[in-house]
Amino acid sequence: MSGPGRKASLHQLVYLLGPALTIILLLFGGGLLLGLFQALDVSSATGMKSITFDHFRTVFTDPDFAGSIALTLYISLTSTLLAASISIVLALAIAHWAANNRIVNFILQIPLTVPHLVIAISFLLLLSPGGIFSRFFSFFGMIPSPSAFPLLVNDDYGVSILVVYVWKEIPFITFMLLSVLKNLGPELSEVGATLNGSRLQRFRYITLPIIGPSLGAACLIVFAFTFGAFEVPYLLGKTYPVSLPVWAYKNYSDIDLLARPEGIAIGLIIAATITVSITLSQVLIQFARKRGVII
Amino acid sequence: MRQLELRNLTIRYGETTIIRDLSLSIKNGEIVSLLGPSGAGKTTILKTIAGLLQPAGGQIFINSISVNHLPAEKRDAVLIFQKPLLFPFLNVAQNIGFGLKMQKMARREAERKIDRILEITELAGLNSRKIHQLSGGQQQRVALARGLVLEPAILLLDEPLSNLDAELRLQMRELIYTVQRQTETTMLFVTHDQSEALAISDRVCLLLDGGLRQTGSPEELFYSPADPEVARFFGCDNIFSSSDSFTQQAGNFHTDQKLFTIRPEDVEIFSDQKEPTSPRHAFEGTVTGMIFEGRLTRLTVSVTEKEHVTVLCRRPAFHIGQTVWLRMPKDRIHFFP
Amino acid sequence: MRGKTLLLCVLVSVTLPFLPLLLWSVADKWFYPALFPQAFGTRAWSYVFTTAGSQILDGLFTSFSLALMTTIVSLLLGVPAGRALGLYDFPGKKLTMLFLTLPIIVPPLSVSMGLHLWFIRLELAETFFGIVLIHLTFCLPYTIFVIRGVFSNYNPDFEAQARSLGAPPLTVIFRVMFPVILPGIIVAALFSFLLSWSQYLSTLIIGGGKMLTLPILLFSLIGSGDRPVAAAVSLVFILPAFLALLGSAHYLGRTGLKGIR
Repeated sequence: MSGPGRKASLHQLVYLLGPALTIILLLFGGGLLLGLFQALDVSSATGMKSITFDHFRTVFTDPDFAGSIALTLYISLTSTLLAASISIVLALAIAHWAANNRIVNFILQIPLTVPHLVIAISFLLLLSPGGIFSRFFSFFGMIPSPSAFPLLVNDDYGVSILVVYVWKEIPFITFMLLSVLKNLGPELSEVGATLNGSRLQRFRYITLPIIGPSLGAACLIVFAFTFGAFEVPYLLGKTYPVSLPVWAYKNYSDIDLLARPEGIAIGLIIAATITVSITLSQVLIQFARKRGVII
Repeated sequence: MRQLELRNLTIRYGETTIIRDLSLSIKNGEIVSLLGPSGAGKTTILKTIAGLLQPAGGQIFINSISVNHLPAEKRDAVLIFQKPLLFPFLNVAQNIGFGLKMQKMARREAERKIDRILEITELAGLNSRKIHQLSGGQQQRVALARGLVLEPAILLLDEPLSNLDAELRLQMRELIYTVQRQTETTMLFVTHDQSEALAISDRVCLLLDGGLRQTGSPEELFYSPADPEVARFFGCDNIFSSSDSFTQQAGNFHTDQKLFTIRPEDVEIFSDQKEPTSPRHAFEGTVTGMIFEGRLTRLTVSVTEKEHVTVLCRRPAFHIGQTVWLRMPKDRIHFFP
Repeated sequence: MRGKTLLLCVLVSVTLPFLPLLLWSVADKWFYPALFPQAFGTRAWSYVFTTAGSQILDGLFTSFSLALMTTIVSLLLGVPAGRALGLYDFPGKKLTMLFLTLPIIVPPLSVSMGLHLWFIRLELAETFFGIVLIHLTFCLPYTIFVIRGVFSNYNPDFEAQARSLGAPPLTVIFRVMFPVILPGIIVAALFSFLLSWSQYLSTLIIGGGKMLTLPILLFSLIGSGDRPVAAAVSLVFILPAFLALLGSAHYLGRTGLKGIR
């Protein structure tokens, strides 16, 4: 009767979980549902009779939609992949050389506490054409004029957006990986070595499968966040095309109130895209595991 | 009178009945052990007595008062868990004083009691030690002290020795025994280790299949088991019937079909038929198994094709396949009632 | 040696973005392409604390009270829920967890836009309480997940032991459970506080521009193009979180803030 798997009476569970679940169901579930009603033009006055997909149709047929969703996907996928790859290397390095180094641990926690907005501002001051990097190169004569400094802010590739996300998300993923690696210790890799596994093989077939679940979970959270975040692309992105969240808010806050349901529709499309892609990735991973692929 | 009495205690966990109709009474100052294999529900019984689980039926009396409806904190019984479970945010003295604080005892008096119990449990001077600075044995002693200091009508101990290594276990066993004699605390002690139970208790209660199979002094259970299962639990698989062919041949048994047992260490073994004092009563067998267990060696002697006798002896000079003669002294044979 | 190189790399990459904020906040004149400000001064800082003082300090206060309130409510609701999910097995547990991950992955913007109209009708829009509610939609699930993790490593026998030693149920909660899970509660609290503290869009939508939290003020400052003031306010904005980190680093030791984003 010790360990997990303890039973609780229904009464107890309702008492413990009830309040929190009710709040989340009402606010979160209610928010999405009410948003859907608005996007479909269902109102208490007209009921389901006035249901219309016009707002969704307007969004989907908008010539900017494809560009916007492509940009959003590009930003979130690239920053997730970059952050994840660097985090794996960093986590392994820390686990190997500085597992109990409190200073590294402390420094790496700093980005966790800094809001995205602030980091966006500081990279704006660093990377913009008049920013500190540009001054640096120009000061040492490496570029002839400010205009010769490559465009890194409000640019086509969203470089500064990616930099902000990577800077902010690496510590998050790294700590997720470290919590697994620290409990693991070097034994399993040593076993791998005695079984004649090369360094690369040990990483691929021992370390990676063990950090896999944590890495996957962290990546999904990062992907979901970067796909739906507003501040960073708003500040550092170019004016056309804009990322989906920026577009959604622009419509929602438009002086023309008729654009509001479209904004809500885009918000729901963001929510749906994230949910569907995460579900899909889970299904694919399960499928791959069943086929015997070591992930 | 300080005592514990269980009347027809029945405990269920979900659909399954773990304990059925268990009755037991413990006298003031007694140390009783509840012995049984792992998973027999011993811990469950202690938790039920302590008030942490509700019985499905039956009554629990502490100090002759029915406590069925009292919550755990109001019962004059303290349970000491298998793990020390010392509160990590309190030091040694604060841990021991936890229960006294709950009773709102005056600080001066509480400190006096804590110091005395620290003395008894050989922890004197460790008052302000942090929990993580203690060894495993010390932690277990603090846990014991934390229960003892409350002077409960009954102290319930759940395998307090099982987390310790062999040497510490002996020390702790001694300590529990002497502390019990010193404080005259009534104790119900749960263990799956027969030697622990035999060494420490005034009475042993053997729990098998959800009920008490036999209750009695350690010697009674060991030498006069109530049935073959009890005998086997104490490591004796020499269960024979007086109608077995080899016993007939030996000729010194009752003629009616009765089951009997003899401790393997009580069987006498000889390499020569002439050696036994009464060779008439000896019977022949072949050594078919021999396991060296250290102090003693366990021999399996096949007396017929299907009948085997286990014999424990010191430094045997036998080898496998050798023909030997066995004798079962009459006063060492125990007939099951 | 390699450990030191690693430390240096981490140190430089982490601290680099703070450099422009610090420099700009004390720059009086800093024309391109000067590498360092031509004139230093306290103009930005005195602006923050005097000229616009009341506005920035009010924003600081609003942000702080919102985050504090959100954190308190998150903990009050999240600790029991996290205990249920971390300690017990029950049918529908997986489904509950799945449901709770949704508010973590779905951005607050989708939810806030949907709720806005109804918050207006319920007179919750543009109110302190309304913003606490919208922050709860993501702070509460995060809190529950942190607390659930704490309880999955928690031994409830400590509580049974305390009761057997004579502690009544409420005492068990405050004298035993609470101290044992305190480090986890601090992490969850910091977590929830930071999420609420740095929230921009949902506050803007539900607050309708009436609740001037720090991020909202900061956004308008960037729009106005006053770099020194924006840099100074940015530093003010990260200060409480940084202090919290310093405080918790001592308290939490190696546990740290892992899992916070």
